[in-house]
Amino acid sequence: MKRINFPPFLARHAEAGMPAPPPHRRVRRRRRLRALLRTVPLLLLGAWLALLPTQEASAMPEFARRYNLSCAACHSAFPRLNKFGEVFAKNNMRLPNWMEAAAQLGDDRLALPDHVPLAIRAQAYVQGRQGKAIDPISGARQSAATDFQSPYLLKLLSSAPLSKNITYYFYAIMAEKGGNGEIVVEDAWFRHADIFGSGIGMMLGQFSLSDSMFPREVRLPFQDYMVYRMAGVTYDRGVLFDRDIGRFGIDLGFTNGNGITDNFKINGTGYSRPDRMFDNDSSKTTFAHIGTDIGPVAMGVFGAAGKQRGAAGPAGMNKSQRNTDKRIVGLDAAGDIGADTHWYAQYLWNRWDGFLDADPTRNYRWSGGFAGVDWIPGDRWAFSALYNYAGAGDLAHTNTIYEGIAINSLSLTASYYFMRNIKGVMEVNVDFQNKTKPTGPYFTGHLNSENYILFGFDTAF
Amino acid sequence: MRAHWPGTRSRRHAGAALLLLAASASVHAQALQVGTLRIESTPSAAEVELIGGKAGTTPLTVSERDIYPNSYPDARAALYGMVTLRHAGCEPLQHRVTLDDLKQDLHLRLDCVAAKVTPAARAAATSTAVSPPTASPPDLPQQRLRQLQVLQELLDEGLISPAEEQRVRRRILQTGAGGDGTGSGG
Repeated sequence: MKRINFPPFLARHAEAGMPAPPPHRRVRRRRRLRALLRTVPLLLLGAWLALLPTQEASAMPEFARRYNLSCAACHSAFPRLNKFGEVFAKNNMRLPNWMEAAAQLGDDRLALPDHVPLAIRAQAYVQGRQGKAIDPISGARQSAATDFQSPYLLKLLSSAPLSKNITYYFYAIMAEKGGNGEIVVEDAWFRHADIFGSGIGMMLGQFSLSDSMFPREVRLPFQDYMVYRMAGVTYDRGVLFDRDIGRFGIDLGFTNGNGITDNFKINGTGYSRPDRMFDNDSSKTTFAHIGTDIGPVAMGVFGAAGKQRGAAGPAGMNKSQRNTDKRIVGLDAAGDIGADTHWYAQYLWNRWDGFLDADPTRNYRWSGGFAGVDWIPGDRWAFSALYNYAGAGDLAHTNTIYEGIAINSLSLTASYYFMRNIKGVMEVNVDFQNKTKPTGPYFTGHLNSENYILFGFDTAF
Repeated sequence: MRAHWPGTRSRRHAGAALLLLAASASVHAQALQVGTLRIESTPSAAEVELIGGKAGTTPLTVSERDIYPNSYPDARAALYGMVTLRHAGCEPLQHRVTLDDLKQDLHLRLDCVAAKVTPAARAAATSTAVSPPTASPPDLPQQRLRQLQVLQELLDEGLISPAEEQRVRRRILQTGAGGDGTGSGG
C-alpha cells in the first residue's frame, strides 16, 4: 500500500481575487479548522500521513458537489481514481474543509450534511454475444445473438463525513444485469479513522475483501476481475482494521464468510424472535493484506482463511451441509508507465479442502489472476486491455459447474468521454479458452465461447 | 478457435449503435470545450505556478489536468489544485481552483505593496528562469515562519509527535535553504 502525501490545499481558504487574509485571521481560522482536523493535522503542512486501507469511491459526483471540485481532481478517467482520488478515498472520503459543506446549526457537536448526499450511477449497453445459458442438468440452451441491456445498472450512492473521524458510505443497486424488482445493497459501511487514538482505522459493515487489492468498481473495462468473483472474495459483512507501520500498509479483517444475502431466524426458544442472524455459523473468515512500494511498483500480499459451504447435488449446483476449509493466497502489483499509462496484475491461489460432496476427502486447488493496462492519452479517450486467466486445477473434470472457473479471455476497451462524467464504452472480448466436452452426465465445462462486442453508456451524476 | 460472431441483424444493430456513438462523439467534441482554465490577473504579467512548476505569465490558459495531474511528486503535494501568482511588488497569491472557476475565467487581483512596479521588477517577475521575482524573497521566509508557527501549535497541543514535528521542520527549512535558489529561505 502506498503512503501518499496528502495535498493540504483544501485546508486553505483562499478565495477568488482575494489575497491571503492577515495573519491574525489566519490564526483564528486555523484554530477553528484544527478542531476538525485532529486526525489529520499534518495535512496542513503536507507531511506524510499514515494512510488507511483501500476503499472504493465509486463515481461519486456528490463529492464534487460537496467540495466544489472538478471530477478531474479525483479521477484520471471516470471511474478510475488518480493519485489524489486514492488519497481521498483512503482518508475517509473527507477533505479538511468537510464541515464547511455541513449545515451550520450553531452546534459544534452536530454536522448535518446541508443536502442529502446522493449520487446516481447508470449504465446501458447493447451487446452482440455468443454466450449461452446452458442447463447443466438437461443441457437445454438459450441464446440471443444481440441483446439490449438497458438499464444494465442503476445505482444510488451516498456518503458523507459525519464527524471528524466517522464517515459512512453505501450504495444500493436498483437494477443490475436485468434484475428488476429488488434492491441490493453492496458496499455499506461506517468507518472510524482513528480508534481510541491508536492510529488504527476500523470499518464495520459490508465491503468487498478484494478492495484491499484492486477495487472492482473503479476499473475502466466493462469486463470484471473474474478471479475475485470465482474465489469468493467480493462482498461480505465484517470488520476491517488498517494501519500503516513503517513502509507497510496493513489490513486485517474478519467477515461472516457467507456473503451478503443470508440471514436466519432465531427460534431457539421454539417461537421465532423478530431478530435474525446474518451468519449461518460461528466460523469467521480472516483475511489480511500487506502492501508496500518497491521502487516504482506497489506490491501486495493477500491471505485469507475461512469456511465455505461445500458443493453438493447434481453438477455441484447445491450447497452442501458441510462447512469446508478455504485458503487463499494472493499477490498483486501495480505501477505507472509515464504519466498516461497504468498497469496492474493480480494472482490468486486457492485451496478448497473437501469442497465437493462427491469426494469430500479430496482437496481442490486452483489458481488464476488478471493483468491489465489503462492508457489515458487525454481528456476524451481512455483505452484499456484486461486479460483474465484462471485454471480449474483440481476442479477440472469433476463434472461440476466449478469446471467453469477456467477462463482465458482478453478484453479491449475504448472509452470516449462526452463529459467528465459520461462516457461511451466500446469493448470487445475475445475468448481464448478451448471448448471442452462434458466429462460426465452433466453439461459442464467450457461448452461455448464467450466472445462479445459491446457498446453503451456509463454515467454518474 | 474460430469466433462465431453474431449474425447479420446483430451486426446491423451493432453498426447502428456504433454510428450513433461516433456521431454523438463528433458533435460533442466540437461543441464542448471542457477542461481549460483561463487565468487573468491584475496587474497582468504575473507569474503562474502550478503543481507542475512555472506555467507562464498571465493572461494564461491552462488545462484542467495541469491543475489536477493524475500523479505528482509527494514533495509538491501542497500545490495540488492550486494556482500561485507572483508579481514583483505584490503579495504572492495562492488560489484553490474550484468547480466554479472552471465555469468561467479566473480573475485574480494581487495585493501590490508598491503602487508602481519598476520595469526591472516586472522583468524579473515575468521571467521563467530560476531567479524569482525581486519582491518574492521576503515573502518566502514569512510563509515558512507561518508554517513553523502552525507546526509548533500542533506540537504543543499534542496533535503530532516530536519526531513528526522534527521531520516536518527539517523539510520546511530544507525547502527554504535550497528550494528557491535565492538563499533567502530558512
